[in-house]
Amino acid sequence: MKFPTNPAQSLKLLFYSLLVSILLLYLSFLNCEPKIAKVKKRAVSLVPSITEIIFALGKDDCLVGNTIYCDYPEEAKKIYKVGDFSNPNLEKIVGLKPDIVFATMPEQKIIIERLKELKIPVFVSQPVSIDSMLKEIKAIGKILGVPQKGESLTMALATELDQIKPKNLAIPVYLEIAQTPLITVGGGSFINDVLNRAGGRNIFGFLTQEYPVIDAEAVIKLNPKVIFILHPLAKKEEVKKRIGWQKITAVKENRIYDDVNPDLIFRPGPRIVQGIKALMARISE
Amino acid sequence: MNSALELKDISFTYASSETMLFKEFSLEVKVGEFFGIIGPNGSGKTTLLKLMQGFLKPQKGSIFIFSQAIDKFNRRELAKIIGYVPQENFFAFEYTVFDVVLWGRNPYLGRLENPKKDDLTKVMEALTITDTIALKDKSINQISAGERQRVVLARALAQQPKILLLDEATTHLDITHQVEFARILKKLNNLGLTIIFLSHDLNLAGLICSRMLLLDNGKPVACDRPEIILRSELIEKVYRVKPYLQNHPASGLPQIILPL
Amino acid sequence: MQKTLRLGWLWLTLLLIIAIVSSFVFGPTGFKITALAIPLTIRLPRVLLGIFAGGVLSLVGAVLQGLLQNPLVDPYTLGVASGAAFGTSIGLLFGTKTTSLVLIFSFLFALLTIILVYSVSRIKGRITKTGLVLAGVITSFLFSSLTMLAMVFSRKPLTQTIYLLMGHLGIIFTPANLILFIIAGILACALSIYLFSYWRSLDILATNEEAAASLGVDARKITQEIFIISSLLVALVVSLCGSISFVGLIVPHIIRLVFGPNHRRLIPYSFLLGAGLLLLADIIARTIAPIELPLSIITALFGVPFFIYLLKTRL
Repeated sequence: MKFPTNPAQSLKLLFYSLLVSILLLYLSFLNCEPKIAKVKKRAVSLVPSITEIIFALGKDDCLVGNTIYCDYPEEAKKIYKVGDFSNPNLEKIVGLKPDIVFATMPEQKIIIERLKELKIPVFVSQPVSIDSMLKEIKAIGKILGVPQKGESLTMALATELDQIKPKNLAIPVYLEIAQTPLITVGGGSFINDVLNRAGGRNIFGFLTQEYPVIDAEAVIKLNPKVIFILHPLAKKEEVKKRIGWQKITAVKENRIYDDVNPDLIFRPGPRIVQGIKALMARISE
Repeated sequence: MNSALELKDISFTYASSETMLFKEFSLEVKVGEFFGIIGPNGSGKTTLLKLMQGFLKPQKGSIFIFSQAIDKFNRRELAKIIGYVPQENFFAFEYTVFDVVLWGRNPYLGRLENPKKDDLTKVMEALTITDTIALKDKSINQISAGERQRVVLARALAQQPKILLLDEATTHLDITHQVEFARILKKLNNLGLTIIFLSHDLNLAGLICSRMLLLDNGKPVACDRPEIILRSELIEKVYRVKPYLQNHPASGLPQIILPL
Repeated sequence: MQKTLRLGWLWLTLLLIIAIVSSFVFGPTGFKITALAIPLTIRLPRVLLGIFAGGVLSLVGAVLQGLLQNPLVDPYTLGVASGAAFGTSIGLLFGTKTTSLVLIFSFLFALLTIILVYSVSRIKGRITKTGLVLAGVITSFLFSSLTMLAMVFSRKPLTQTIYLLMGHLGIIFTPANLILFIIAGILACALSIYLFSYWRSLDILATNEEAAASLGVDARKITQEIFIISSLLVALVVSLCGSISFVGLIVPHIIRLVFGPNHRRLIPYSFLLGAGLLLLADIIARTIAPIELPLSIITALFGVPFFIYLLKTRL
């Protein structure tokens, strides 16, 4: 290729470069923009449990974006990801032009405020009990334009829940979320309600924090009858070997369970029934 | 007479400079000499002292301590032979004078060894000789510069060296202590200590040294007895100042008078 | 003043003994002479861990401050801690099955950091003080950022991250990691004593490098050796307990203000005071609120006013 030697050639070069640049720009736009079919109501879910609810309501065609932790059902994994749970990407969310964003408190306080500043409608989920979770499902059904589906799903879940009658009640249970440091579930959480319905009583229910850090001494003193390990770091066998824990009834009677999927218990969604049943089955053993 | 310290054909330059400071420089100090090194600022006096102790490595040439190549010694062995009184002395923490002088015994003490009675005696001797015994419990940073200089000398003496290197050791001293210092050094020299003495004080050096080296920009201008070095022509050539000369009333040695 | 100087070891040992006894007696579940099970099985390992962490960190802090003649230096200046923290977060991120594995991960990364800092700090094949500090600071930044990255990707609650980074003595001991701890403890003892043997050289390093060399102290060689041993000690502590801040910085200064700069006293006294103070801080962290607080908060909150008081009265 030779350098342009007269005005005509320069113009030609300019024209072709412009064409190429426009083509490149267009291609990059294509890459940026997620492929979505035209949906009437565009929803973004920043909460894995709400993603499950949306799928259960059959309105997953509205879902244009969710988080990397939204992994149930399988189809949820294929939806465009706007980021993680604690720090989703504001630009990506806004770029999807959502009609409604589902978020939760208190973890997503900041992103909620920013969305509100941008006048984007936000539905804030903060269920403190199973009853409030059911109410939220109804509300979500209304928002997505399927109020009847919402009602029927809620009713179905309520019926299932009513049928759950634990054999024993208020069995002292210790729920372990983390080992280093020792983190458990406090009284001010949704999970307490779940546990109560499964026939258990959270030995740390007197603590108001949602996920308090506690001392091993307290666990030994409060002597739970059942222990649930809800993190992958410790298996049942290792827990039994913990120095000083041999006095605990749960350890003595080998009532340590590490095989409950934490998502079933921590997500206030349609699978909560499975979670309660899983807990109950082990508490009543 | 035996050789105490010898520099043979030393060529040296600092990494940052392009021209050689020392080119095939040789120097021999014999045992028992009181050897002075004089010269203007930047002539290489301090560099020479550092080369002598192995702090700097010459690009060419070799250095001998008591006829043994310097690289055959490790730091501890060298510390038993050479005592060093540097020009600048700084201390990061508030050690007592006694502690500082006790450091002089380091080459003789093992890692976990505590100082023995003999070590403490040597420290007290060193303090006595340098008239610093009254300061022994004071903090090293709270005494005057001159007192500090004497403490550092005491430390060097506590090493029981065979060769003593002093870099401008009398600069901060008042005349009382200059005279004392000079007398102490002379006494030690008479007892067999080889001394290499760097100074700006031409007169003092002239009075106590047995031989002097006049250095100019890394080149040895003259190396001889003081009365031969301290002549107007040489001084004028190197220092670019033409001093008056007078003879010392007692010894008859030439003394420089400033031409002001 | 002379009397306090001479009996320093007595006072400090007394303080340590009080701290140990208090650690046994105080706790969230109280104390009954008939129910010694909890104190012995839960509090005893904690006490040993506290002595280990507090003592070693203070000792290393004292040694590094002397080596680098810098009052702002603490055990974490040389970057090892951030590498260990990163190792821990990597271990947790990949969901390793046992805690012992996480500890080993942490220690391995710490070793990696030591090698990294060592090679980065070599200017013309020699280690200089400035080079070390710079390399340590840069490496700290690097690994801290990587640790944050790992934290962002992990699903752990934020609280766990905070405790990891701010230090915490409440390790759940199983026979497996207890053995690791005992090995670490023995290693730390040996290394600490070896580090102590440098006391005279550290004293002498307080003056200019050439004067030190003339007294038989090879600054370069010693800097290298002390760096490696100190880093290993810090790696051991951080792998087990996270980054407990402030103790390694302040305790040597307190000892220096009261007992003088002589490393023969500074090093062992720092160990005693550091161990005692950390145990006391841990008691507060455990009992002051129904939940357990991160240790660094307590050490800073109580350490700072006390240090200011000392500064004003002694200086």
